[in-house]
Amino acid sequence: MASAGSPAIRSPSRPASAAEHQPWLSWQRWAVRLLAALPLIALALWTAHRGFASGELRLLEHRADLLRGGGPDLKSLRYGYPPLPLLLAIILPGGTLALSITACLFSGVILTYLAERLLRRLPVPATLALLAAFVAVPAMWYASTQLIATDASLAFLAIALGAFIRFTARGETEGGFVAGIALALAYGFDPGAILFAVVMCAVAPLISHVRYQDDPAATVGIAAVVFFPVAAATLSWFFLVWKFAGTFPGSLAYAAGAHPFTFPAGVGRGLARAAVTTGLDVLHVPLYLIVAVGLYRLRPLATVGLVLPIVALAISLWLGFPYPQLSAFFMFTVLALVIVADTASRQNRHVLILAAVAQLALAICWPPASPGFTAWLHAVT
Amino acid sequence: MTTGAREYVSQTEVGDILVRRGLLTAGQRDWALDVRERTGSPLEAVLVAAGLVRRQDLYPVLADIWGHPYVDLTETPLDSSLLAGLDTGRLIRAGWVPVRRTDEGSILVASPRAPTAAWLAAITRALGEPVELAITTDWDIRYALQLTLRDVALDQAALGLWRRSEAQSARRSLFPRQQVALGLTAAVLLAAVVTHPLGTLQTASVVVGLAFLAGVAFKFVVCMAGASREQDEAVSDADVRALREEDLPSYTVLVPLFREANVIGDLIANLAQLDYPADKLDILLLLEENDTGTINAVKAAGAPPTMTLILVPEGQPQTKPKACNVGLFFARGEYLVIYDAEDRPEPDQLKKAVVAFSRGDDRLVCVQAALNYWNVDEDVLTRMFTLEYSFWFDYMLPGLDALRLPIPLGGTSNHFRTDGLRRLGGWDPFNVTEDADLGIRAAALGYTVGVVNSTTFEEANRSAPNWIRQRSRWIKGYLQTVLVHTRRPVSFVRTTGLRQVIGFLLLIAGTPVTFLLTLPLYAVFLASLIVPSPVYSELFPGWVLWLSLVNLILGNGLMIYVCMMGAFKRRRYRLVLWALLNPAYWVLHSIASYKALWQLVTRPHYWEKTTHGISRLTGDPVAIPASVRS
Repeated sequence: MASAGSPAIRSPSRPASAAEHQPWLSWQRWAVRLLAALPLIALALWTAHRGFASGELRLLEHRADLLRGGGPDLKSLRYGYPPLPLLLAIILPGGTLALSITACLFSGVILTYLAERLLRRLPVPATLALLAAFVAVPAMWYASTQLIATDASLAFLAIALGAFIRFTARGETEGGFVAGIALALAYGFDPGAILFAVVMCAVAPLISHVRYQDDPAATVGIAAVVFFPVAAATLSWFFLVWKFAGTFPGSLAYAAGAHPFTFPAGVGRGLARAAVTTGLDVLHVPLYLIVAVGLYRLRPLATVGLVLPIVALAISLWLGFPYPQLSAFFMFTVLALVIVADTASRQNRHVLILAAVAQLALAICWPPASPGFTAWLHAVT
Repeated sequence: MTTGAREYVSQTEVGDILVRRGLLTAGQRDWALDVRERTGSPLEAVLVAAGLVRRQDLYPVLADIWGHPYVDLTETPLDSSLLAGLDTGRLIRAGWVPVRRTDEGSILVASPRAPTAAWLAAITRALGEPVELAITTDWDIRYALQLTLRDVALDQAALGLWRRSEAQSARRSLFPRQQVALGLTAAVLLAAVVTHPLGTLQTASVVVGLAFLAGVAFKFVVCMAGASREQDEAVSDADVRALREEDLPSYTVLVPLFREANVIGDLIANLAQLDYPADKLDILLLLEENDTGTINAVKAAGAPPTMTLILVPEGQPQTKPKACNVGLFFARGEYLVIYDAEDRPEPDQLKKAVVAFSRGDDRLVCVQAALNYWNVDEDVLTRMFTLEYSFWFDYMLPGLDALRLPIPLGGTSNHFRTDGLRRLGGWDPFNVTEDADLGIRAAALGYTVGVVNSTTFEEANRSAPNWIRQRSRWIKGYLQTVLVHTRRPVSFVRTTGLRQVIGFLLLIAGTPVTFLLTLPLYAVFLASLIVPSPVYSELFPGWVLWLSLVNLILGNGLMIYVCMMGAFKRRRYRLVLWALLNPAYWVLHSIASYKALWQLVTRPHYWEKTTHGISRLTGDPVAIPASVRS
């Protein structure tokens, strides 16, 4: 303790911490997320009341039953894919409705996460217009209430992307932690996310080259930090399934129609088909294309970051990972909105809003396809 | 007052006289007066600290100028009876000492300070008798007090804390209640093994796995909290530049040395880099009385005038904390820091600590600087050690700070408010991780510990046996700290807070526990791969084995990841992939933890000495890249 006689040390006051800059407390943020999810939860309850549950939810419930009823030797782990939604299906009481409500909560997280990011750069009306590009799309109501793996995986992918930008472009190592873990969690919900981890590793040098040009080893470091959690999760789960169920490739058939690494449509023809499907998927999201053009004008090299997800999607389809058009629509829109939050300016704001409106109109006239959407629409109307 | 004494002689006048007497050049005088103006220190302190004039040449002249006799305390022993009843601690800091009774019946007092009437009146009041003043050097005063108070200092250093509170000292490992609790637990376990061997094995396996995961997960969560604070620069360069030298407080630097003769040259060079006014620095080299090798090396090296040798009296326990307590006994600085012999603190560290203290409230008793290594790329062990330190000091400690949990101090570079440290009772000489214990004791007594964004670079251990010796001591110290602070659990929770106690248990108890559990978990893992399925499935049902494996995989994965991030944060990118070897590194930890457990029972207070100066790079100082500095 300073003695009474010692002079006071003159120093500037302590700088405000990140927490002090944060206007909301943690519980308030969660309350807002819950509020955002409430309309979707109401819809989920209505859907359940009408006796509908998507194929994905029913499959998860079925696999959870198999795992619950499996013997003590845990051979039933062969059905343990994708692990995290299945874990939820096992532990949550309430069957498909509980999973549906959980999906709504994940959607609430995505929505508020995007809103928070957009509001940092854009006024409220512009934010609302951009969010409408997927909030107001009926197909998205279906995805938000019925596709838990997609919802959760995208929530974590969005978080991973935002954190990845902080990590690579601004050098915030906390962003690396968050990106790596969020990617691993996204993979846990949807194994297709592993391709996005690969994409992020590939894009890292392009985003980070200015910051880390003095030390090329940083690129390897970034790739390791981003990819390690996904790789560890993948290998660990493969090992556990192999150890207990004695099967290795079988565990990859995690969803209906999933035949990873089997080129289900053939190698050559499959590639062409995947390219066409991906092209159609991208046409559904003009916002994504406009954002890519905007990014190109700002940081040309970083645009590769928006091209690579398209390539990744084509490759996943080609390899046999199932990716319905609706999921692709969801993913590209979320990625676009995450990037917009970093690149929007007063000059391009109107163009972005126009693109969002066009995307909304397009989605209503030409809804992104999904196996269960039409049946769901019949059920709830 | 002595006849002929001059009440006031201006510092400029003193400078002129020193020039006339040939002790200084005019240029040196002007420079020293300029420094004095800037720092507010007495001219004589500036001259001595800068090495412009030797104490023994300067002070006789000053005595002459001030009109008082000069006394050489190396030749005039103190009359110890005059010290009776005086607060020796305050005496050391006050800068005067009663020497003997004069023929006239007054007390001869020695002091290096320029005499004033008020100063003499204060001494007279303290002694309650008339005094006569003699001038001596500050070094003489400390030397004389060391000699006279040797036994007092030894007793205070070794048993001060024990006398103050037996419960806060590790002198006795287990209190009776703890012995009963441990005995009962062992008896229950034994009974369970005898009556239900299989069930006990399975239950133990589940508990072991969950304990392992809990310990690692806690570290991960704390690291995340630390990472989230990385953008909050605690003390910036601008803050340091804004400090005025005249406002800087006096700072004591303790450097405990034992069998360190080979690094003395480096030590002197490293401490010379500190950016702090030399006349406000009080560097105490703490040398064991019987360590003639190091004592001779220090004398031969020609330590600068800012460094003082303190001989630590021989006696048990012969530990670093005891030496530090002796240093604390003789410390005069308002603030105090400890460095090891091979430490290379960043030059502005003391100033950053001063800023950090000025921002804290009165409860802030210590700020811990980060530690890292300068010989990173020597071999695998130095790389792994660097990874571990990077995550520990760059994420864990800031995370504990952010979550307001007790912070176990690191071995060196802990900066204290000296008075606060004295109120805490100093270090526990019987605890072999005295630094961690002190951090927890501070929390238990209502004080806080913070971190400061400055780094001290040390020598990473490159020898596995030396590493295991060092690590086993740390783990044993953690175990001692757990035993000490859980003696009165209710009172601990009441004074420290439940959340803090849980944090303490997860960290201080969790660390040795996870290390102890590493080898058994690895064994289960290997057995599951090697032993035929029917055999182990009888011992471990599927879900038990699954839980063990998941815990092992998740725990190791999390630790690898925080090590990767630690390397990244330190901008040691080439180390990132080395983090994948962390599970192998933990085998060494586990071996060390069993040695620690054994020693806790057989030699609880034995100090496993870490040998420094074994780096192949010693003697050829490695430049620390600017990019890895704080």
